[in-house]
Amino acid sequence: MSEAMAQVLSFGVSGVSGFPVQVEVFSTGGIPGMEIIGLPDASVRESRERVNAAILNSGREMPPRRITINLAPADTRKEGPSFDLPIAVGLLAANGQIQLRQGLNLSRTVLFGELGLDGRIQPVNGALAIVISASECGLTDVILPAGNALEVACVQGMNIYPVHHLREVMDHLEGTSPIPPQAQMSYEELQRRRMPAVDLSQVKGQQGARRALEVAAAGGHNMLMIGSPGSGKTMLARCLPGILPPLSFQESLETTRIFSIAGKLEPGSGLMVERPFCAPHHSASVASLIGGGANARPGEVSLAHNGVLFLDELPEFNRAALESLRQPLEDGVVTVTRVRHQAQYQSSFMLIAGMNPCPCGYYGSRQRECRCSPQEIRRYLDQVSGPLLDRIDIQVEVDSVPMEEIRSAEPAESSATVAGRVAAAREIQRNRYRGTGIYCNAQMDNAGIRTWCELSPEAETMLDTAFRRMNLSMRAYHRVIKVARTIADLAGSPRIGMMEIAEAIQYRELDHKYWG
Amino acid sequence: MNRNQKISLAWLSSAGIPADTLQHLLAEEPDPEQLLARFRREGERPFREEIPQSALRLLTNHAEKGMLETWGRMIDRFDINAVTCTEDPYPSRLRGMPEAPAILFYQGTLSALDQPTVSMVGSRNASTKGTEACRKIAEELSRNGIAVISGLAYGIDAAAHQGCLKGKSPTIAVLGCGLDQEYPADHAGLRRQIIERGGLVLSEYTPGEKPLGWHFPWRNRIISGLGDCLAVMEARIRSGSMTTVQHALNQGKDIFVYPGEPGSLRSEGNHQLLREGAIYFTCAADLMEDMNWLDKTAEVEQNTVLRAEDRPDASPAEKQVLLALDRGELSFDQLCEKLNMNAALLSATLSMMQISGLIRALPGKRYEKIQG
Repeated sequence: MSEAMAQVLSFGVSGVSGFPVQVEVFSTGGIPGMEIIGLPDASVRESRERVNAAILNSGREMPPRRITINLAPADTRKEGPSFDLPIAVGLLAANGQIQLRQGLNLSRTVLFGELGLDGRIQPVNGALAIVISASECGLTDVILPAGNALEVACVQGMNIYPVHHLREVMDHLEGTSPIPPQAQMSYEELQRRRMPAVDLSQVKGQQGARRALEVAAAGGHNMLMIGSPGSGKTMLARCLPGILPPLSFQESLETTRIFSIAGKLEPGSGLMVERPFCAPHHSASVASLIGGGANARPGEVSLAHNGVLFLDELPEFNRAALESLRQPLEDGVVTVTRVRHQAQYQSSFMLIAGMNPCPCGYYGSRQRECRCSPQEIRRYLDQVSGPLLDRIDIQVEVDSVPMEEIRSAEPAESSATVAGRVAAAREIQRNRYRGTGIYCNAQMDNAGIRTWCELSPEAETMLDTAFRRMNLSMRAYHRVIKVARTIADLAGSPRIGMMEIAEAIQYRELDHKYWG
Repeated sequence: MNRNQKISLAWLSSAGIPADTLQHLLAEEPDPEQLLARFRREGERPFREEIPQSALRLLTNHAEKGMLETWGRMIDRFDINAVTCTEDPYPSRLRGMPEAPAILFYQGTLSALDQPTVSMVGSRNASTKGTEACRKIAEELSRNGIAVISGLAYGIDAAAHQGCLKGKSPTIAVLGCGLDQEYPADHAGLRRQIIERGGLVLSEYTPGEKPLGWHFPWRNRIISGLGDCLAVMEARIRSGSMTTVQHALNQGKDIFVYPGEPGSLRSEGNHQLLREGAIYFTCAADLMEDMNWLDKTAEVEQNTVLRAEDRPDASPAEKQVLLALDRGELSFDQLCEKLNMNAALLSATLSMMQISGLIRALPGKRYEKIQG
């Protein structure tokens, strides 16, 4: 045997989608050695050593030959260790170390996975993106690390062969002991296992804030909580994913795909059934929020896609970082552009922000005395820019509950009960906005407000009086109506009455108290 | 007093000459314009004995035309008046006071001081309760024909002026900087109102003088000096308010102290003063009784507590809330629990009551009834 050639199909990841990569292995006589070409990055180039050891440890040989491995298309950068497995299989085939079983077409089977030196196969990032892209290319057979199997179990019409060791792959390809394809799992089954991380019944007291959270969830409104340290802002925010409507299959695919690319998926976990909750620290940079890095990774706004982005200590965030949130809040999508990469990530999330009422945190607290001067308080609040506040419909103060009240309070409503009411309100909204491209009240623009928000005459008079008496700003006007629309939806009433407007006015704390 | 005289007074006050020296000078020559003319004509000679060298140098420098014109422009632009201790309109309460300023600059009218006066002092960083109480008491005093004096600072000072403006009496602000300075800038509107409503803004500092830190405790002696008595609303142990109390004691004024919250740092000074024998007061009537002012007005006009039954037009939910708030402020959660009302209904009810002026929202999601 002097010259031999083998071809194996694999996939690389760019942005949220995969792209096919042909792994070509050419083996010839000459000075022994191995070269990988086709713009490999360091981790791909190192696969040479892993593959070598894995093959030897799987009981096969590496004859001393001159080997060239090409990853086509040759003009796209390849990164990550997921090409280990296809390279190993290509080598074995080119060197005549395996006899492919009859009827097996390696160019129609997608292979990817990282190899350990002992031949074990490790899970990789972006498996879901690869499988979805493969399915879009009309491919059906995928051999992938067992650690990635659950994450792709819900993709329809695919034969998934999960593998643990290189030897299993060889046996499967040779036909000595074929692996049965993994049973497909229905998304509904996954969802039944769902358990909210924090249940609302664990939140004691906080009647006002609970109600505000329910309204926010029902209308998809962004929310700002103002309260002293320890008043339970974070706890309340954590409850939000549990009272939002469950993730639909499509939403789950989108979110899991982003998590998979970012390598944030729990090992061995399947599709995400819980809405994501991202709480970046206030030292977060623009790149970490929006996405970036040399290879344009998704940022927190995309990880929070279809879920909740919680920014605690809002005024402490870097000004530029906060300003960068405006575009994803508006468009629900971010485009991350770097020299070598450009990627578009979905980022439609609910923003929940928390902040102290003043620098020391105890302005208006019953627990401790505030030591801040009025100027200090104003300077602190001014850290949050008007344009960002403009995108937050609900602002609510969180009362700090004294210890004795926490103990005495009777059991509170559970997340499931609240989620039921929220789902009903969302259903009303879905029917109302059918065919308009929006699906919840928060997305309504001013024209929409005129069309869908009919105010009763008393409500109108009251809104006007309220604006005069309580010094509300004009930007608050439309927000109050939008929130009132949601409150009416929660009550199941088609028209916005006086009580709805009155309640909605309570959710503009900053307008008429701190911001003078 | 004509423009040139005012300019001459600005010149005279700008050199840091001690008040008693200035008094001697003005007693010999009451017309400041003549003093300036003489200084220019004869040089330093007529002044030499009394005035320190450094001040003489400043007088020489400031006597040049450009400087005098700057003062002239400030006086025109900000409508600044001046009065010296040798003149009749000079506030009688300051006569004979130790370290009384010889020259005062003012905006508004000096006749604002022609009635009983109370100086109200307290922290810039005051509690909501303290500022509210101050506003209320100042208003009651004002309704009963008593003028309120304070320092135009944030917190208690501002509340005292605002409360007084709600009544019928004028209010007087004593500044720690030249009258051309807008300090604090946020109170430009309040200051305009004080003057429009027949009040007085005065300062011993030459126009153009910056609001330097040490000016303020020093001008406090004028605040206490102009009042018939001193009312302390909220004072920490080490604070400007406590220096005002020192000045007032030296001037032989009565000290009235509002009881603050026990244990609160903000009113530690109040409690110390009360222990040392200051007069306890919680309302305008207390103060007026002790000052023997009650005979001057037939009846003390007081704010009355609004009771739930006085509001027949209130809805059942609103009446419940009013009743619950009778004994003082409550937070949203406390109301929720007390009335067993759901959060949505309570929110709506509270909004309506805020709009109709029955209650007021306090920071920390607490609510209180509006008095009167």
